[in-house]
Amino acid sequence: MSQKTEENNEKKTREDNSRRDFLKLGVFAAGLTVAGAGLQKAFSEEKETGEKVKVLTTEGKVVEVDTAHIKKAEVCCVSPKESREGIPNKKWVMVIDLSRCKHALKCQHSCQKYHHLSGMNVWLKVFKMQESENTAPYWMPKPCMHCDRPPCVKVCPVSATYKRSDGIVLVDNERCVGCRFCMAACPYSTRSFNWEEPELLSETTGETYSPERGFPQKRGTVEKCDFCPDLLRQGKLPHCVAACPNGVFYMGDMTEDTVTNGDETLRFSQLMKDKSGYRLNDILGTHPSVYYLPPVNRLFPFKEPVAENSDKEKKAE
Amino acid sequence: MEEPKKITNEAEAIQMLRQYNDDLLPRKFGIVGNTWTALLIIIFLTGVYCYTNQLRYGLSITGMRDFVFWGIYISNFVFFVAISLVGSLVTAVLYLLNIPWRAPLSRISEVIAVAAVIFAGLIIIVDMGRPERIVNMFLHGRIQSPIVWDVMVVTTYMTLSILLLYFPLLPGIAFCRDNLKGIPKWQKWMYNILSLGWKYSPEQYHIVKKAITILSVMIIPVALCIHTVTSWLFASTYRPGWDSTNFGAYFVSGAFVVGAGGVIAGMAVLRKFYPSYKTYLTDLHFDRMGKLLVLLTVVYAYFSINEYLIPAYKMKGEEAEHLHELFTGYYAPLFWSVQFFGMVLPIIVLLFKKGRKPIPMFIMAVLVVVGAWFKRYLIVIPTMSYLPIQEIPEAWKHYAPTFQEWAITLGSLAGALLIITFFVRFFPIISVWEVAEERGVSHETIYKHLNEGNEK
Amino acid sequence: MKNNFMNHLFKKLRHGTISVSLITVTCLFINKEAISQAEKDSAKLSATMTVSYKASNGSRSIKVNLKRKVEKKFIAVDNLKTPVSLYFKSVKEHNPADGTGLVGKLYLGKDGEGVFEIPDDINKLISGLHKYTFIAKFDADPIYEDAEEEISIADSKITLSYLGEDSIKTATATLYEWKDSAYVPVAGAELKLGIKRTFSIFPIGESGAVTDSSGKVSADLPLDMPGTFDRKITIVAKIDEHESFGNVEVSKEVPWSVLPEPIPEIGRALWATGDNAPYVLVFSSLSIIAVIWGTIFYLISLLIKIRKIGRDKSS
Repeated sequence: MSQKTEENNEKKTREDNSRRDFLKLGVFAAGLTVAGAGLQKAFSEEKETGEKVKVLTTEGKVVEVDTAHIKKAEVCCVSPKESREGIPNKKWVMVIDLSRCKHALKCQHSCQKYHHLSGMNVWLKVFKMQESENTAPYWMPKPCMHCDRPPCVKVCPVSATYKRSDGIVLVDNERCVGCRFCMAACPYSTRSFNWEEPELLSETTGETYSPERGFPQKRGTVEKCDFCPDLLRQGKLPHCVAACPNGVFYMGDMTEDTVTNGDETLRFSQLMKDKSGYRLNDILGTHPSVYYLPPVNRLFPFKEPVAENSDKEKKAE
Repeated sequence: MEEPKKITNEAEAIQMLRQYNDDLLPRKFGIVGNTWTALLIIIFLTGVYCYTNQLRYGLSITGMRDFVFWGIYISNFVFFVAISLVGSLVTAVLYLLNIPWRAPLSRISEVIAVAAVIFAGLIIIVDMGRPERIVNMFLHGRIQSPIVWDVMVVTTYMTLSILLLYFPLLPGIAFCRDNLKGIPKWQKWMYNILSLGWKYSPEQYHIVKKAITILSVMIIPVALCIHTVTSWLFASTYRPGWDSTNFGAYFVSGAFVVGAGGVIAGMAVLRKFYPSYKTYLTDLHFDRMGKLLVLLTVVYAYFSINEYLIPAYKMKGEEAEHLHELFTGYYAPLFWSVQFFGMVLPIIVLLFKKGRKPIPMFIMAVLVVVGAWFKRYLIVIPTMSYLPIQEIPEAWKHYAPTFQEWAITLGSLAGALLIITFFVRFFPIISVWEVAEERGVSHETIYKHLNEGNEK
Repeated sequence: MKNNFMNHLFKKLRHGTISVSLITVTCLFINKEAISQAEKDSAKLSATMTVSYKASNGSRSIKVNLKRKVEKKFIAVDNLKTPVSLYFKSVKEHNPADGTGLVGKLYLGKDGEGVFEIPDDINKLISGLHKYTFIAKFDADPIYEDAEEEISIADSKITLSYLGEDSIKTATATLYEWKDSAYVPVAGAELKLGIKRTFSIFPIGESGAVTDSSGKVSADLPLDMPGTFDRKITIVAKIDEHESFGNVEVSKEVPWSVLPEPIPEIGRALWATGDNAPYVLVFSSLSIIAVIWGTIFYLISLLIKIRKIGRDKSS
């Protein structure tokens, strides 16, 4: 919007204001009626709820209108075909600051919950890493790397997994034939397979499938971390990024050269320069979209979580 | 053990051809044959039943899980592809090289190839999580994917193998049609259809000769492709043990070994149960095949050493872990057994003349084939356990095939053997006219003789 | 209730949407049953509702967040069955009992949050009031106790100006509040300036800068910051959680010369879709297939020839 029109608008508003100062309450109520009608129009595709709302008219009479404008918070997502196009003019990048991770696993829990992941399939794993005996161990969250030269996409026989213009690698489980070649090809082992009927299916039955959210899952198909493109489309951070209490994950758009972990917003290039960012197994030529910051000047000392591991193993049995 | 004499006299030739025909017509199975067939059918149907379970409950009925996500279906697939290479070896390579003793072996090897490649195609569908979406391969196929190459090359090889089996078989089918008496109607009808109205005419004969030459030339590169492309399914990944430029040659050389082993085993079995075949599958054939197997195994050993020695010299990272598991760890007993019984022992035994007699040869051939099956298990499975494995259930770290998985795999092996068995039951497994030609009988004489029945 | 229902049905019939009303009737009964069921269960969970106000470029929204305490921790309420209603309160006209003053109803999301976007019409109408009170409430939820939360906002305004030269580009924002029938500058308020990015605002200038006596805050823009592909950048000025103004932000799109790094094209690559396979791969594989399958079809034609010869001779 140009400055001129903005000024015009402001002028108009001021005029309106002065005029409206004299108006009485009834006008406001009438306004609400109008607004109600407007809302009805805006959400006309939604079903009528049968509920009634009383609104005061200008004459001081109470009338009933239908509250058709009850809004559902969840909006569904794009179709498998549309999901093959990336979000225009975006190139997503994630930065994982290893110095902040303390294996709280909030990222993983949030990811599991919102993707309705069932069974033992885990999209985001947090590994204990130790380069060699004499070096310090650290925690490393590992999502899908969304490589720019994805080996998994190379080998897929049916384009069930594909690379989008915005950098995201997705899986369309309505096309996947379940050959698992992508799992063999992925050097980061980020993919999992639905060996049996997904457990939490009942929770997602009837939901429209979109590769952008990855559920409902289907038996005999591959799945993996998807960078939550359904959220990115709404300008929201992926679940893991939003859930992390320590700001380990930064998400951003390469074209904007900015990443954010929700609390702070930083220049991506500057961050890489200042903290010596690197990519996992970059030597393989996969060009990942996920960057790591080395675990130096850590926020937390390294501690093994004893209880949680044994819990998990019990569950697995 | 001498090369059979060439026949020059026409009367002698006709005499011999009559004898051949009497010996080589397919005949009804005895008790052993029927029991064998019944047993195969039972194993095959058990496999089919278990596969219906897999269709119902998904791949969860197998021992595969994330991390070890390819199991014995895939290693079995590789085995089938490997053994199918024999078709091109004996039929095409030996044919083009004009090896004088190959004729009686060509059809045995070709039928093994056809049976194996058919079940290679089937077992790979069994491994799919969504077999009903196979049509996606054609609707959305990506030429960039080695799987698509594999699908193309397997179907091509299957077609070529069937053609290479079929062309030389035409006179044989016609002969069955004309000479087998007291057979059921459907069998007669089948011969009628399949013989394509074969009239023993020189024109038809020339066409067959031409087709065999074209096929022999063409099937060799395709056969090399089928095995090389199968090796690329592994070599195109980053995994230790698979990430190898040696893989194509390694797989092809291994395939020749198992193929030759398969033919030797087949020869020995036929000789045992069809005493009249002794005239055609002579000690000479065993001797020559034994020498060939030694040569092939030595080549295979060369590529095996390449495959393990150099990585073992470097011992880099994950590769080292993988090799330690194979050499001294969890898989060591199997690894060394396979190397010894499947490679070293056959070389040693077959180097001796006494070792190249039918019975020791049969034992060595079985060792080679069984060793080859487990070798493919070792190629496919161990490599999948060497990535950071944390946060997964203990049970997922080691792979053990389930009963149903074994049943399906054995069912596929039984299925391939069934194809071979039925072929032996209904078609001449040794090609009369090719054997006769090998003995120096001109095709005019063959034509004349074979036409006798027709003119009668 | 019955009267309402009859009224409703009558109206529906008039509109000829019987099927819809049948569904509606069912809904009503189910609803009624659920409520009576809930009434039996006297022990309901209690939840804490927080309400915040945001004005962004003149459009207003109210965010409602619902949490409950479980073992000393607050967790999001994700199983609220009834919608939250938002009312505009102004001396007399607000009446939840008969629904007067209702702005809208909203089902909270899985994170226990919901945002009421105030529709343009209402927004325009209430702009003249300079002081607004919103009430968010829900009642008769089968699981949770009724809750109500009120928020009052005083009118404020931010203006944003931009001075762009080659070597220095400056953004200046001024904060005003409505006082005695006019907007007057506010001094000493924390006013943030930043550049709008996909998920957040990239801060520029001093952090924690407060407005001077004329209500102004200024900041220089980083000259190497990439804008959009159509050479624009959006500057934002905002106040966060101000005790009387709530969250207020304005943004302004200005021309910008730094283009972002181009997005790498996938093009014809091994990792592209099937239609975009590298030409070398397509042509080489097609020619191999053509040669081999051409020969195969030739061989099949030979079989046909054999059959033909067989027929000719026998006839």
